[in-house]
Amino acid sequence: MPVYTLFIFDRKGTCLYYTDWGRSRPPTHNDPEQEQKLLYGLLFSMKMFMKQISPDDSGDFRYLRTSAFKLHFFGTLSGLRFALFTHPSAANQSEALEHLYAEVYVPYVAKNPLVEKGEVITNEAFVEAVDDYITSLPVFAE
Amino acid sequence: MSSKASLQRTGDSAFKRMDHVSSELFTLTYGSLVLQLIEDFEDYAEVNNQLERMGNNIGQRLIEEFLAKSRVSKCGDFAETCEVIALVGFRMFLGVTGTVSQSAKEPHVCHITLASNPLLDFVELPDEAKGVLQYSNILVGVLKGALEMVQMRVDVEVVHDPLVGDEATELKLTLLEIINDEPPPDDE
Repeated sequence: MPVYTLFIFDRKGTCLYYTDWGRSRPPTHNDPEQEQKLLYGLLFSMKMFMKQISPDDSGDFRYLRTSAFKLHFFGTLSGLRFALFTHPSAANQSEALEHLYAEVYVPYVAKNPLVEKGEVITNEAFVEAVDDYITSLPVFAE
Repeated sequence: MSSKASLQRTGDSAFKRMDHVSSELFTLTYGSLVLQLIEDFEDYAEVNNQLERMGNNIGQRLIEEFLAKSRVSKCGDFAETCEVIALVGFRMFLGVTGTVSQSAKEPHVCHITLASNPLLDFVELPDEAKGVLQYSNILVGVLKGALEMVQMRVDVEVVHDPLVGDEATELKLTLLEIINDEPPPDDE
């Protein structure tokens, strides 16, 4: 079951990182920036929606499944949003995204003095670590 | 709301997940940093500003490590936030815990008392610095920077300082504002 794409957004909606693993369709309108805006808009609205619909405002959505893909989501209290697109029958990957945050993002980005806040991540060690981790997931091999 | 005992456990387990350094090395490094700033700026008030600015930068990054390692969930109110800072945050990064006090009349103000403050070991202030130099001002910056990242604008003050004869370090946190998420800009 293939993994398609990964997006990381900060609180301001900047797409800090994007990567794909052989997606079968080009970005929406052939414009990656447009696609990022669309996705961020969706994630933002989902949060607002849940804030208003849940009995308390602590809820977060884990995944969104359509017949064509599954969007796995993990958000932090500091406003980072991780979104992973996979094949629709893949198991839930929120925990994998949480691991990606704690074990890859924090050491390679948050604790890296060379990375400025809100800057697009180009750090090679990070890119490699993300790729190693995602391709090592059972969902990637299935 | 999480109980104190469970926060203490969270703090202990997060502490175990951290990399540790000798506290003496830490205290001495911080001391030489402050001394260097005093030599460079020759003005205690400016040193306070610089310490706060450094703390702010530290806080903005440290919050990510804090969230990733402590795995605390969203706080219900400001008092709970302060409990989390005192029992989990200080435990994780400085190895000590604080006590929170709050008056019912002012729910947006909290005091955190640190019975032991590792920044202050071996430190003595010369008389002319007493009351002017806020030696622990880096903590003010760290707390402000970290809380801003979780959408709380706070004011922090060191109200009691053992270096000028008080019993313990006491920090006063005042919640000024909860920052709301900005909606994404309109797309044309």
